[in-house]
Amino acid sequence: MITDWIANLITSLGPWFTAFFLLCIFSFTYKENPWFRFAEATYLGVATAYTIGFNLDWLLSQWRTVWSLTSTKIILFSLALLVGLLWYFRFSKKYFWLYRIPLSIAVGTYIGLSLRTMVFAQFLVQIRATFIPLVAKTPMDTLNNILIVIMVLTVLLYFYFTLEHRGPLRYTSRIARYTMMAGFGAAYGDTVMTRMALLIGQARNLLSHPPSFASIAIVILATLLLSDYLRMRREPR
Amino acid sequence: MSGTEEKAGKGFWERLQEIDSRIIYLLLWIVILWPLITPIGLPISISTGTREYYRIIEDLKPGSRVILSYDLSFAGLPELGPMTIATLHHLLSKDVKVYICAFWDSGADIAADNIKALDPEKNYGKVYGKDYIHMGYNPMREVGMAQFASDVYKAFPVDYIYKKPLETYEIMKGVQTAKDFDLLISVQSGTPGNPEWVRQWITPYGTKYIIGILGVSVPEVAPYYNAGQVKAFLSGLRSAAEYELLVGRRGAALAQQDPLSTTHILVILFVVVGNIGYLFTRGRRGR
Amino acid sequence: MAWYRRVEIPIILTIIFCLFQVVPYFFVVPAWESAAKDFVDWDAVMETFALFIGFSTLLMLHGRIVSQRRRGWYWSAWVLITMIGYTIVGIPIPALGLGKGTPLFEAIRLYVLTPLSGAMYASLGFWIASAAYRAFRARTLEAGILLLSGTLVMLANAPVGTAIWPTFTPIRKWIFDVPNMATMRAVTIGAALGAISLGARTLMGRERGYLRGGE
Repeated sequence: MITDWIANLITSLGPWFTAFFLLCIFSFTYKENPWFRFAEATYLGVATAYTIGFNLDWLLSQWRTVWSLTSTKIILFSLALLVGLLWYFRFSKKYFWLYRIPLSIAVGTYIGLSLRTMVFAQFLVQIRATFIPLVAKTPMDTLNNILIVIMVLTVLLYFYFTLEHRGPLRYTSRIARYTMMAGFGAAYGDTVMTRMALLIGQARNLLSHPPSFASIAIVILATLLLSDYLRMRREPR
Repeated sequence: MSGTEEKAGKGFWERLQEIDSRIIYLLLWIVILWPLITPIGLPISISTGTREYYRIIEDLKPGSRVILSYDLSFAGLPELGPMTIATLHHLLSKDVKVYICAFWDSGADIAADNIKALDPEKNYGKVYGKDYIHMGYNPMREVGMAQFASDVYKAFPVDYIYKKPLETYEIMKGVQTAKDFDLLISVQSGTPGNPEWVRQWITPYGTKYIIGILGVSVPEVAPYYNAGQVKAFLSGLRSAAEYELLVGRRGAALAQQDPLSTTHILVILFVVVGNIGYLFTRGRRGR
Repeated sequence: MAWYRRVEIPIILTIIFCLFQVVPYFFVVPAWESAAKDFVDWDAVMETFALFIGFSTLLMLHGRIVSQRRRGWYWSAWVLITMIGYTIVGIPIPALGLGKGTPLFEAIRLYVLTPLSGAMYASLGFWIASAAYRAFRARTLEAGILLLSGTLVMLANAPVGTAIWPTFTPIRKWIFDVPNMATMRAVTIGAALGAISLGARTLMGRERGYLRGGE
């Protein structure tokens, strides 16, 4: 089959495809260029289509194993399909009101499922966890506990905008700012690790097949340098 | 002032602050590629967080039921991929039942790739459907997690590899809801992820829960860890390397530690040099 | 306006389906609980039928650029070609070698999508390095605290840092356990309050942002 033939071709040239697309994206670090635009356009198209393929497969497996088994389920599936088609009225100004029906069902279900436990999981449990002993077993733990309580309260107060931050609130907001800066600094340090890790991972992919890496890198770099040289020659002195 | 006069007026620090970005990128490429080509082999210490994660899995009783949820994208693979492989290796090395699932479409494919790479039948003597199973992908995000907690078979009607109904497999005997599992492990790169699992599994059912996350997600996990909702976590590439050492499986994370060191030193140097330059130029402008 | 076009109808639907999930969580009504769980399955299928919305949006956007021959229209044409092409590859027709799990679908995933996806996010590392050099200045005390905290965490994350001075690890742990945790706890509580109030407003019909659009 032709699809298998194309698949075999892509697989046998796999390292070349990988190196090509990686280097096209990284060529942006030199300057905006057609290689990058090509890779960006490819990514946009392929990523959108991948999700569709995946979800089509899921829908088909749901139909085969769950919804085609009884006549009641077939009717319910058809109803889901009809209501699901209403999503596409999003693109019509006149019939936009139909799009609101599946949207309100989805939003209502989502709010119901998330709200019912959010109060406990992200609110009460977190508040309860802040009630820690201010005199702990060791001096370091005592200091940490006192700091945690002060810091949590001051940062919460910092986001309380009903009152102006004057008087005592000025000092609490200053403590809050210092706390947040220390926290965000840690976030920055960890972000550096993540971004560098992702970059290092892709560099390893490039190095796993040196011939493709080297030859494609030379071609891309040569075209970028050549275009720069030609542009400089064209520019009036 | 003409361009030449302006340039002459600029000091070393001012010119250094206006350096072409491409030189920064080139330096970054050098410090990444050089230690990959000629490794340095710096030692790594193991943090208490990684030891906690390892210990929770190591202390699982025989026959325990463990969910390993692949909630990650292809983009997060360099940092999370080593974690997923090492965790799966650790689980397959023990006498526990492993239930693999995914709430990200890419996660299901990554899980299938991991299973293929580790070859449980050949390397661990495990049998698919008896000792481990790939339950597949649920696209419904938090709603799907809630569905999974209340009825496993509604969330995952068929397995991912053979597309057979889940209840036909021996490993699924006695499994119906979240209460039937002993441990939930999620390796995650975004949403749906930690808050969703906490809301739909940990809060209602109290399932023991550990995670593997990107470094960039570490700050968000802190309050959940401190409140005891997350029992342990692996944070980024460094933790992944530590975990590979603990499970005795040297992999991609360990191989990437040297460039991790050199890139971090470079970034710190940039911050320091940039700030020194700023101090000097601020002094000059003040005169 | 005709009664069926009124915005109150979707608001009422939102409230009904929200309460449909909330009530059985707090009250023991076995039949209702079972119906709510079954409804989630139905809702999953219904929502998945929206899978072509992204496709349609891109088709319209880039189709317009191509038809009007606007600047860079050839890139839009390539987006459409790759999107439609890979969608066809993803249609489940095993007899033609199409669909998820077939060699062609997986080959494109492995050698096109995975490297592109990885590279897009990895390229942020360059901007981080550039920002570290150009933008991160300790102009104020707060900025200095941020930089100091960040530098200490970076030194703890790098093996060379902990090899030089192992104390970077407990310092990092302290930053994580105390100021970072306190900040994120307050943010989590605040975000939860915001989400709860948004949910309550939606249920009261006061929050209509998600229904905006149309005539």
